[in-house]
Amino acid sequence: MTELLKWDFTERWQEKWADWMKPGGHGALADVRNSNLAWTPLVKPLSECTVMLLTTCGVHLRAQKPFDVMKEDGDWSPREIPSDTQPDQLMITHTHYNHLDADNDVNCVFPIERLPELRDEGLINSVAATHIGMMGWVPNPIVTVRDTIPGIVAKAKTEGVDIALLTPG
Amino acid sequence: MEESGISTMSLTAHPHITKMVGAPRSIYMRFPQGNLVGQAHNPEQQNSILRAALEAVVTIEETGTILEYPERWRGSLRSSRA
Repeated sequence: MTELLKWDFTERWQEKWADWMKPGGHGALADVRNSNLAWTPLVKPLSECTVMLLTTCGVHLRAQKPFDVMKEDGDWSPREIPSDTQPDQLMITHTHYNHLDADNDVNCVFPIERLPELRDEGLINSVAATHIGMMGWVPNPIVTVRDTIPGIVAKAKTEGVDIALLTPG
Repeated sequence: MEESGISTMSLTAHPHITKMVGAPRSIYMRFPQGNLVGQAHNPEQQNSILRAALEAVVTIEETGTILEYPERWRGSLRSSRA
């Protein structure tokens, strides 16, 4: 078992946050903070859980409409990706990070082939039938919360998801 | 999602932003964007990261917790730039 380290919001990190939020900086596009962090503890063993991937890496099926990376306010529409999709049926449309590695092996950002391995090992019970692909560049993510998340939650509840693993690009 | 009874775990390359925006459970990966689940064609590393993330859903007990993955990125191994 990998032992994770404690992370502290040190002065260095606080300075990085201040830089991020400077006028003209990326963070200043929208100051969005969760005033209340909801919390759902696991009520059953991990080995009995169903897990869904929710990624903002810009992955979608080649057959689906690509994300609109030219839209000034971003594209917060979701793409449903069947979890039995083969990697060669996937592509990434995202212009805000380097996805050269992920173009070669999508598991770098969207571990669609790794999750079934952990199921087969017995770490989790099952993989959700559907994963969700999104494109993370949305300057004001309030619209994502308003328009996109309710549908994703409804889909996840229908499929009995216990844990959503969120991976960025 | 948490309000609806789904536990979440996020990977992040920018823990200061995650801290201030707020997320229930997060793991800071000292890896470049585009590789937060590991190197291309390194299933062992990808498996380890995914396993650690899922196991931490069990062990984290307080909302807003950010932990750090102990391994650092080894840039020379980045496949697409080699």
